[in-house]
Amino acid sequence: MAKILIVEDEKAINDLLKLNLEMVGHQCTPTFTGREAIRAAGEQGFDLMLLDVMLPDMEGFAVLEKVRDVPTIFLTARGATTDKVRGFGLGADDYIVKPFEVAELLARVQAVLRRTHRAEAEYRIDDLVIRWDAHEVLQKGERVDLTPQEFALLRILIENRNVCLTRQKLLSEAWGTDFLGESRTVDVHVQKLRRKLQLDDHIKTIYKNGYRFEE
Amino acid sequence: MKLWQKTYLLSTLLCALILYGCMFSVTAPALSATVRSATDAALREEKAIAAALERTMDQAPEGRAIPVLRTFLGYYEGTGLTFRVAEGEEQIYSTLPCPILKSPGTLGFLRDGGRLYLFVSDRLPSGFDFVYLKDGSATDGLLRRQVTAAALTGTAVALLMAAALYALLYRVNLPVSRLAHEMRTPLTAMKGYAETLRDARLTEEQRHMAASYIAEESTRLSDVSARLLTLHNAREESTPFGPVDVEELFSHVARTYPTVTYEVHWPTIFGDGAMLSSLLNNLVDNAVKASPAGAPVELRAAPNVLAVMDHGSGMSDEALAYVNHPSRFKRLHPGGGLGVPLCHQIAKAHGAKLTYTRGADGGTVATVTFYNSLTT
Repeated sequence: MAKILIVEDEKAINDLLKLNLEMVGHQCTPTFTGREAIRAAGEQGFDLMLLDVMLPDMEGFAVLEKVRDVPTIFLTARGATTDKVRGFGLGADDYIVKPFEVAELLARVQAVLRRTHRAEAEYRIDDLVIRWDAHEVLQKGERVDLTPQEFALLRILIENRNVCLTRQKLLSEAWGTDFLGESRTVDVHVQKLRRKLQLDDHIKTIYKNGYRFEE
Repeated sequence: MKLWQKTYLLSTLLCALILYGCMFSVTAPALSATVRSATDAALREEKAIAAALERTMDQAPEGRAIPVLRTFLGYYEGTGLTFRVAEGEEQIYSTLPCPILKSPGTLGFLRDGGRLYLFVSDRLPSGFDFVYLKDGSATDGLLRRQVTAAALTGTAVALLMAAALYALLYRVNLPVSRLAHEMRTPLTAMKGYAETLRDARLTEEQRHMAASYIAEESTRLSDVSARLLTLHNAREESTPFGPVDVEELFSHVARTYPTVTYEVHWPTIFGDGAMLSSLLNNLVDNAVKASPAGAPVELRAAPNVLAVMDHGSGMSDEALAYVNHPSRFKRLHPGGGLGVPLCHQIAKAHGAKLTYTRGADGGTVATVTFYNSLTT
């Protein structure tokens, strides 16, 4: 779970970001203007900031100059390279152009959290403890052996918990983008995960769509 | 850089080049006239002096010609004129500030030590070589002033033209990019909520919120597309005009907004029905939003005038200034959107003018006054 500051003046999109980020277990503070965001960042620490470039009272770049030490992903309707260069020059960690895919957004958020070492160290559910850095899974204190592939799959599912991932998405995320596998591969690995960790109640098959990890 | 900006830069550059070309061709004759009058004056003066010198030397006693020559030319010291007299290779007299070796019978300008001089090289009837040199700083200054004035005028005109052209193109091109931006937000929201509905495990309440946002944002999107279309029509000013029944126009608006009452004392307008309907809808929509719930909004058509009156709390002076001249404001007024600029565009396309005033009871009155005889 990460604390995320959302800076976006459009209520519809602000709510959309909040809805999806809270869905996967983050804690969000929504703000609608640059000034509000700077105040919020001064009051408490955040693990990540999602920052719209075009705000009513100032440019997102100006907010980034004021709010230091918070990893930042820019959100913008402009896809101009100059904006990207400027954003990265100011120390932005990533850049998402509207309209974006929700799954893409969640993946980028997770990637930045991981890169800046702000991602959660472990995840607990039922009698399972999953330690991400150590790549180990403990059940009632006992180590369970997982293949690297199974571990990667488990990680993607849990990081996107409550959100359905297609088999194609799981293949590209857990096996790498250039893996030319079959979607059957995913099914086989999901079966193994369910059996090894007794996760039948948590890893749900979604009709016509894919798999979803539910808490 | 956007395409229109590239086109703008290119055409401005071309115009500036042509402009400078014109300035040059206008200035060049003036410059050569200055040069000619200066050389003519110098030549006349030199001839006069040479003739006087010749006469004086003729009248001098035998053998005293050279001293007389010195005395005669000595008179000119401190007048800005200097001379040199030589017989063949032998120099007899010289007050020149710099050595000049020009063959007799030539005249022109020369520059030495940063100063401009006018020279005339002549041969006297008595066989002496006579060089006349005049300080040309007055001519130099005049030439410089002429060139500077031409360059400054050219630059000023070019800058003025470039600025005016940019302002025009900016106005024509900006709203479209602004609209494109306005479409991006509803698109992002709709896409995002649709994906969320498909993929996420939502509570009933969240599902309702997502669906409501999709419905809301799609309305906004169709709104933008309608505005885009009308804006296009208004800008092209090429839609066919025809007689429009005011009664029908008003009753259509009254069907959409139940609080609207209307009076018609002007049965027919010559114009574009769809555009006028859009104009009225916009004005009435704003009036209804500004009114307390259930308060009437009055529509009135008098000859050459359409008016929309509400009984709301009225607008601040700042807001009135904005709605009367939206184009003067750099940013969209919060909540102003494109409705008001669009209404102005439609009015303009009909040769009419839209003005907002404060009503007797503090509400707002929007008046469209038709000046163009075509529409009436």
